[in-house]
Amino acid sequence: MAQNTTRDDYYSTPIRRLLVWLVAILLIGIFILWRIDNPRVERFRAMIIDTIVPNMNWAMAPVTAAVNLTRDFKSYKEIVEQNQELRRELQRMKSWKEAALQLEQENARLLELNNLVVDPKHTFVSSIVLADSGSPFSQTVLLNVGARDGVRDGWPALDGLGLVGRISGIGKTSSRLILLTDTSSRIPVIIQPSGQNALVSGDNTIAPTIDFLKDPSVVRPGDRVVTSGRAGTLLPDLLIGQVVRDRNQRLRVKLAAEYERLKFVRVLRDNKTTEIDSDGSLILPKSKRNNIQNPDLKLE
Amino acid sequence: MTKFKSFKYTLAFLLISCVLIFLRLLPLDNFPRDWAAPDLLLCLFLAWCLRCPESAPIILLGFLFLAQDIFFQRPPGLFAVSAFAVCEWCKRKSFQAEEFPFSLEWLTASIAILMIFFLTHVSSSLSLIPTPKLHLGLREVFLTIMAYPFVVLILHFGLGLKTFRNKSLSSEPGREG
Repeated sequence: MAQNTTRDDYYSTPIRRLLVWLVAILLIGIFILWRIDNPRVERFRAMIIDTIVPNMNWAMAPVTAAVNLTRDFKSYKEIVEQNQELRRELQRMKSWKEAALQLEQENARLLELNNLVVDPKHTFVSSIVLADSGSPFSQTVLLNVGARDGVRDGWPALDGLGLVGRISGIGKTSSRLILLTDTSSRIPVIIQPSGQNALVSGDNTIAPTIDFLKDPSVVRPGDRVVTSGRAGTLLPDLLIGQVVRDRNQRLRVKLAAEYERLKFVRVLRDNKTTEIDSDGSLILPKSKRNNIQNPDLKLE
Repeated sequence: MTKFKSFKYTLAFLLISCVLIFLRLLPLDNFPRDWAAPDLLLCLFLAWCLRCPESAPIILLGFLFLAQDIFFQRPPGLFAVSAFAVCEWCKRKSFQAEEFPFSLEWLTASIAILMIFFLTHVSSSLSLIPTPKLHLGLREVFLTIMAYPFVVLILHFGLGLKTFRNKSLSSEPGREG
């Protein structure tokens, strides 16, 4: 900027104005493109994140570790109480272990009787949580496995205990996991032991709501919620959590997975999932879907 | 302001924004909360636009806003375009004002934050995108407005980011806090 021009002159040069308009129109254009052709732009987003975020891991890992270390250090104060608590718990666990062993033996005998083979396709890919979405409005995390490891859209991810979320968005070496708590997460479930079908939908709280329940009167707090695998969306019988009732008497799920410290997750291989590779074909009936050949949508 | 100084501030702007984006991506907290932390990045952008508009070039602004949208899993371009437009409006306000005391600056920033929020919210509901809960967003807006003076304070004493005014350079640049 030349020293002798005033600020008003500087601001209102036609070139500047043109530039402002250009950038604004470009941004609006990107937004409209995203609204119209969502899968393509989301794939583009996954590509960008895939090239950048895993490269930042050398910096991210130590910072995350340092923060977690200080957090752990804070909790040292409570470690004595925790220790005693753990001892008591261990005592209780021993009796449970005994019960579990007996059940295991019984189960083994019954399996032998049935000549049942446990489905070998249920293998998993272990992965580390690389980054999160950075805002409380969307509950998603980025994993360090991607198309290179054979991960596909729609596969479920579990922590040690229960379902954490579903894969949505794949890069070459990274993939995005939509947590059950995200507002766009909908999981078809069965509530045991009553066997009712329902939908678990996230609403940005730690306990997602249970919707579309046929008969709420037979569902009690404490009932187990597992995936139903209806409509081929997910593998059946993955543990989600337990039914609880909130203050407004609404049924919610207390998630079995530990969301406070999500570090490692297992992505279950599920070869049956329907792939979403374009917008329209999902809505059309099957007969019409096959007629449409849309070569430019296959972006690889 | 000399060209070199302006360039230095541009570089500092780019660096600080990158660091803030990086920090927000750290996988520290996957627990959904009922409140949102203040959007420090937005505070930073507004402070820069209001205090030294020359060193927040148009293309860099647009690019950084778009990058935020892409990394934070928001609809790409939506927040970017509203924040970009409002930032340009802030720049113009800052250019045109003869005196720019901190109270006025804070007021302008607050109006800007509110405008960005409503623009984003209205246009996303108009285009039928599922919007997050309103109260969560409003809480974030409130906290961001409250955080603005602190961001300015840090920038003022940490980087010497003062309001550069040709017409009234002698006037006191900041009465923070």
